[in-house]
Amino acid sequence: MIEQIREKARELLESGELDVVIGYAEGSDPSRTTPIFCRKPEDTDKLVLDGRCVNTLPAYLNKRHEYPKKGWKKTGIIGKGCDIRAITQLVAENQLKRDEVYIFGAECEGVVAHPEKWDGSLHEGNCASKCSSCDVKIPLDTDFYPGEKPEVDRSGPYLVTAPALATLVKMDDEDRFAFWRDDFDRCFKCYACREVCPHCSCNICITDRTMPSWVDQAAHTKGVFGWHLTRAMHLVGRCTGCGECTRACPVNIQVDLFNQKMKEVIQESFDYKSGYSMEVKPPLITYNTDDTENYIR
Amino acid sequence: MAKIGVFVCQCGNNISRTVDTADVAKDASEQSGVVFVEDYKFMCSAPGQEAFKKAIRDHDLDGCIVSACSPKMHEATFRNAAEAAGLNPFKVEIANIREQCSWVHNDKEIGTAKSKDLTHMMIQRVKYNRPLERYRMSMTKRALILGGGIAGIQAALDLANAGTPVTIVEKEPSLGGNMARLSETFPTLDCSQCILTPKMVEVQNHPLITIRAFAELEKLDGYIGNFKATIRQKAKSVIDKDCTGCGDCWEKCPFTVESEFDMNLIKRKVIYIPFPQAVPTVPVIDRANCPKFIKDKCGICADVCGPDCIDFTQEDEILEEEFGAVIVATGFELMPNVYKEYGGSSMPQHLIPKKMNKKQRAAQPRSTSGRLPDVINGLEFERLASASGPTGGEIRRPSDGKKPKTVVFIACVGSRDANKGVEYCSKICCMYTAKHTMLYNHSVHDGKAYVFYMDIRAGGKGYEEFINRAQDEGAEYIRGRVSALRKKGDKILVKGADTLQGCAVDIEADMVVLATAMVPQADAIDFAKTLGISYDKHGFYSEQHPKLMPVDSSTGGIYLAGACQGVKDVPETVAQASAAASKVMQLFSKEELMREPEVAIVDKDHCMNCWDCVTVCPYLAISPEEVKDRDGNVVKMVANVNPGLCQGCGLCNTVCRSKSIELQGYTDQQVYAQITAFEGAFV
Repeated sequence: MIEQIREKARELLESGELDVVIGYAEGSDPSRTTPIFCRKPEDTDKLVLDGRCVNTLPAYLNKRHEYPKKGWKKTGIIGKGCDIRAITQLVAENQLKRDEVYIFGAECEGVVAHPEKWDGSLHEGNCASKCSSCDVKIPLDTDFYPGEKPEVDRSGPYLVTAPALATLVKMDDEDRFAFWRDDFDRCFKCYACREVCPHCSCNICITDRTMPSWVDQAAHTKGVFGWHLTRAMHLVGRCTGCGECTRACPVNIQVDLFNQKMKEVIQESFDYKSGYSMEVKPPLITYNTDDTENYIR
Repeated sequence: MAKIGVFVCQCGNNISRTVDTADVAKDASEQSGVVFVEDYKFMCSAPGQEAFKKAIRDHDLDGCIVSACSPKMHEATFRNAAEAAGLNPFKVEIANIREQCSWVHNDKEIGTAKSKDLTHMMIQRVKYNRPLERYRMSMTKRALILGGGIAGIQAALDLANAGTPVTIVEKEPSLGGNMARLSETFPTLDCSQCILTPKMVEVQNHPLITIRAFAELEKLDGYIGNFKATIRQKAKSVIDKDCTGCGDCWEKCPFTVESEFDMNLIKRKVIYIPFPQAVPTVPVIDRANCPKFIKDKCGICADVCGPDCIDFTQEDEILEEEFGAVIVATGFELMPNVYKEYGGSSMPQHLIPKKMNKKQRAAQPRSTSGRLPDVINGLEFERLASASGPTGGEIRRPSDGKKPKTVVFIACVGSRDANKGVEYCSKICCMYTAKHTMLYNHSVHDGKAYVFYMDIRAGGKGYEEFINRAQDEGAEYIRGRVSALRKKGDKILVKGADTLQGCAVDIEADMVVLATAMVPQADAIDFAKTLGISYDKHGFYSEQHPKLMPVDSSTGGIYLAGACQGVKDVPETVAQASAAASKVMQLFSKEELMREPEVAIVDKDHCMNCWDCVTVCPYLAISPEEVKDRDGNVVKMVANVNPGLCQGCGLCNTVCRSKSIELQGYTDQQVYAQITAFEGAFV
C-alpha cells in the first residue's frame, strides 16, 4: 500500500506536478512517526503509513500556518480518512481550494491512542477510541487510492466514542464542574490544542486579542475556563473529530470531550456531520424557516 | 482626559418616583471623566434641551449621557441637539432609567442603585464612542408597485400625480384586482366597477405610470433608494403596442374554459381579457388551454386579427429595472376549502370521481358526494349580483338558474375559530353580508334572507346604520352558528341554532352564501421571502410598528398597502395606499439618502475569509472583496460590507470567530467597557 503511494508521490514530484508531499516518516524512536515534507523525489522512500501515524497533517494546510505561504502551488498530502475529513472541512470553510491539494488516501486500520502505548502492533488495548466508530476507514475524497475503492455507507449518525463522556453527562452540575476544575487546574495555556487543530484558522485568536480582552489571558481558573469553553464553542459544527487536541495536551486534559459532546448535539439538532461535504453549510451560520427552536428553553 | 456630561431626567415623577435622581447625578459627578452633571425635571422639554446644548458649549463636552427614558423615545432628540451644539451626535448615549428601571421597580433604594449602575456603564461606554458620520447615498426616484388592485392603483395615482414615475406589476392580464369583481360597495351601495374603472383608465393614460400586466416580480435586490427588480413579463402571445383591443380575436375564438375572474361561474375564451373594462385592453392567450399550443391546431385569432399582432412564438421576457421604493399591494383571497365544513368538498363537482373506494368515500362529507352546488362564497355572490356578471345582475342560483326564494347567509365562515380556520376576525364580512342581503332583496322582491351571525361588528362611518338598514329591508338576523348543511331535494337544509331564543332552527334554503374569511394570497409567504420582508403567522405582511408605523414594512424602502398587510375594506385600503404613497414621496423629497452609520465594518487585516458573515447576513449586505497589492495581484480576499444594505443587526459580529467585523457605535470595546463598568459583572 505505502509502496504504491511512494511510487506515485515520487512520480508526481519528478514531473513537477507537486511541489511537496506531506506525509509521515520514522520518528525519533520506534514507537513514533514524524511529519515529513518531501521536496525531492528520493525523500518519498522515507514515507511510512501505519498505526503510529497519529498526526493530523491537514493542520499544515491551514492558512494560519507558514507552509501554504511558501509559494507551493500544489501540495500533496497523505491522509487517513479522518484527515481527509478535515481537508473537506477546510475547503468548505474557504480556507483551502480543493485543486490546491492532491490527496493520497489509503485504507486505515486505526491509529494508536498515544505513541507511548505502541507495542509493535495495533490492538484493542491501544487503539484510539475515535477509531471504534469510524466510517471513513476507506477515505471519502481522494486523488490517489491504491487499488479499487469500495463504496461505503456513511449515512449513519455521529457517535460519541470517548468513554469518559458517558460518565460525565451523568454527573450533576456540581460534580461536573469539580471534574473540570480539577482537570483545568493543570492547564498552563500552552495552546498546544490550538496549534494542532486543523480548524483553528484565525490570524489572531480571540484569546490573544487585548482590545478588549474577552478571554482572560492568565492561566488561572477563569482564564482557563474562558479559553476552553471559547475553543469548544468556536468548533461547534466544524470539528471533524481527529482528537489531536487531547493527544497533544502535555498535561492530559481530555479537551476533545467538549467537541465530541457538541458534535452529538449538532447531530441531534440539525442532523449534520462536519467534514463530509464541501457544499453543505454548517448549521450554525444558516437558518431555515422550518428550523426547530427547541434549544430555546 | 474625557470631558463627559451626565444629564439625569426626572421625567416629571415618572423617574423620580422610584429613583433619587439628585443622588444619581451626584454619584455620576464622582466618576472619572465626568465634568458636568445636571438633574432636571424634563430633559426633553425645550428648556431642558437648551440646558443640554449650553452645557456642551460651555464645558466643551466630548461625550454626553442622558439618563432618561428608552433611546427609542429621545435618542434622536438629544443627538440632534448635540449636533446643533457642535458635538458629534454619536457621542451621545442614553442610559435607560425609566422603562428599564423606574417603571419596573417599586423600591426607591434599589431603583436608585440600578440607575447609578446604568449610568456608570454608559459613562464608561461613551469614552470609546468614536465620532461617526452618516452615509449619504444617491437614489433612483422611481417607485415599483406590486399588485394592480385598488391599493396599487391608488398608490400609483397619488405618486404619479406628485411627479414620481411609477411601474405597476400585476400578475393578472388586467388591473382591478378583487375590487373589480365586486357588484356594489358598502355602505353607500355604489357600483364598484363604476368607481374603480375610471381610476384604471386614469392609470392607463397617465404619462408617468407604466403598467406591466401579466407580469411577476422574480427577484428584488438592493436596498432603500436603490432597488433592482427582476420582473418576468409573461408571454401574452399578443404584441402589446400593436393591439387595438378591438375584440375580434376573443369573439372568434372557439374554445372556452372557466373564467377565474367570474369565480368559475361562467366560461371565458382561451384568448381573453378578464372583463370588458380591462386595463390594458390587450388580451392574452391562456397557453395551458389553447389548442394552438397543445396540438398546434386552430390559430383563428391570428387569422382574424387586423393589426396582425398575435405572436404564438412570443417568449417570457426578463426585465431588470431600478427603483428607489417599493409598495407591496398584493391583496387577499378568500379562504379555500371551507366547503368541507359546510356541506361539500372544495373540489368542483365535475372533478369528483363517480366511483369511489371506501377510503375516498369516508373522506367525503356525509351529506353529499361533492360540494353542494348552491353553496357559494361571498365573491361568487358578488359576481351573481354584478351587472356585468354571468347572470347580468339577476340573482339566480348556479345549479339550475332559478331565482332563489330563500337565501341563508352564514357569517364568520373560517374566521374567529382557530380550530376550523383562522382565529382573527375577517372584519369585512358583517358588512358585506348585510350588503348581500340588500342586493338580494333588491333583486328578488319576494325573497327571504336569513343571516346566521356570531356578533355584528360594524365599527365604521355609516356602518351600523347600514346594518340597521339591511334589517329594515327584510333580512332576518339569527344569532347562532350553523352545524350542518344537507341536500334536501333541490333545496339545502340548514341546521342552525338560535342562541338568543335557545332553540334549534332548520331552514330550507334555495341558496347558501358563506361569508368566508379573507386570507393572504396563497403564495404570500414565498413572496415575502422574495422581498425580504417579515410576515405574521397567517402570512399577512408585518408593519414596522402596529400603531406608529403602519405602512412601513420591516425592510427600509418597502411599504405596505391594502389587504396584504391585514384584513381591510375598500376605504381603509385606499387610505393606506395613499399613506404608503406619501411615505415614498417623503423619501423621494430629499436630494440624497442619509443612512445611519451604525453598520458593520471589517477589520481587513484580520479577516480570514471564512465567509460565515456572508452566509449569515440576512440582508445580503456582505460580499467577498479582493485585496490587491500595488501591481494589481490579488493578495487575499476579505469580507466587505455594503453600508446601504446593512441594517446593523449584528449577526455577523456574533459568528466572526476572529472578531474581525464590528458594528460601528457598538464596537467590542464599547460593549466591553459597558459590561465591565457594572460592579456585579463577572469580568
